[in-house]
Amino acid sequence: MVEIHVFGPFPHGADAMMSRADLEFYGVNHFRPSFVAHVFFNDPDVSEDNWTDVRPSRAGRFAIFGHQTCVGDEGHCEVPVTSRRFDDRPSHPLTRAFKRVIVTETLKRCLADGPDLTVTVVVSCDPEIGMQFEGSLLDIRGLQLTTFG
Amino acid sequence: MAGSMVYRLPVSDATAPHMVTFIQAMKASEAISDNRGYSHIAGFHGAPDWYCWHHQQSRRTPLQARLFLPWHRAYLWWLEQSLQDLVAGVALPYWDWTAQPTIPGAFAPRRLGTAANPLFSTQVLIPSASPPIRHRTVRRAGRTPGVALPTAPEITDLLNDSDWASFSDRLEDFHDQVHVWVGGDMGDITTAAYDPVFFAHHNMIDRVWYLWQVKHGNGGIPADLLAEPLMPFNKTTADVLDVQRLGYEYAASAAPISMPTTIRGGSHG
Repeated sequence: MVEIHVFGPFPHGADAMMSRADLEFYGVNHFRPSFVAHVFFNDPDVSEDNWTDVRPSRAGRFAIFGHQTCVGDEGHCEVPVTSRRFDDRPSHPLTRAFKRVIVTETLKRCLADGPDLTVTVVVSCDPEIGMQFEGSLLDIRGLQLTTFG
Repeated sequence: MAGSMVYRLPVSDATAPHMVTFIQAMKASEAISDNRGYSHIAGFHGAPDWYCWHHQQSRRTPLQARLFLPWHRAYLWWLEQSLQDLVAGVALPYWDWTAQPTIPGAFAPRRLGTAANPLFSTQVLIPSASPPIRHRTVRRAGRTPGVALPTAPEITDLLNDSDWASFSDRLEDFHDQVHVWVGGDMGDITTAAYDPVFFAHHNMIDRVWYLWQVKHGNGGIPADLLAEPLMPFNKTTADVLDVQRLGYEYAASAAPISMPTTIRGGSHG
């Protein structure tokens, strides 16, 4: 099972003086099968058939160790949206995740392409597990490209 | 020696002395169905107890509570102590997937000689789950397209990252990759810890943190996190920073040498 998500083009705001660049995924939903996500920059041709580790546009990858299904009673896998003053227990196990991919070298190579960047994320999981899952593997609340001087 | 600090060694073939001891302890632990046994301890991580710390937030601090490494170090310590209740001096072995990029040989066969291999799989029995869970653990190694085990250059680069937050996030992601690569029960937080290879994998994660600590020290962990409790282990983050306080060190090899049965010379009469 492979799915492709395209973000942008958006202005990247980076310059050649950066020492490090991180692509940050906020609010990653891990209530789904475990998956791996490969990130490509400025590559409109990347597809289900040709995404590989050695493709020059590949910027990095991240993985999600997922909770495949709910095995509790009704409400067990619902993340509370409010908290109480005296409740300092750890938050719900399905609290959304933060992931970062270090993309420094690939982003530096993309500076010559101009001020905009297009991010393509190719997501895959075990096909046998994926067949039993409905919906998109990649479900995030935000994406940010951060550079450091 | 019973009661002494132990060395955690690399996973080796099933006939290596430290693996013989480990297999003996795991077999005994898996045969215990009460709260001293392997199945009960495996249940701390996912179902039915859900204590594991991955992406949760702590309401005791506004900081992002990166407790993934401390929590799992305490978890390994708890299992190791429970195994030492059964077999003196036993230590958890670590699976260095950078050097051994396949399911380790001692964990792979269904049987060792004529006996069932306690490192191959265990019974997952969680009657309180909905629906109830009852199966033996399985693996589906390498079935996910595009996933690979971490490499030695990647870990070397990681060990040069002096920032605690960045190091912790990156090591957790390498950890996630291994779970995806092994697949099957290891690919699902719910039942991952029932697969004995879970602990060999996490021991390697803990070893990488240990190597990072040797290089960069314990600094960098925000003070807010040091008092965070690591449930249900009766430990805080501060309690698990020094592995020697937990009774172990990591080594590449250790060859026990027999005490001499005869001593020549040395007569001072």
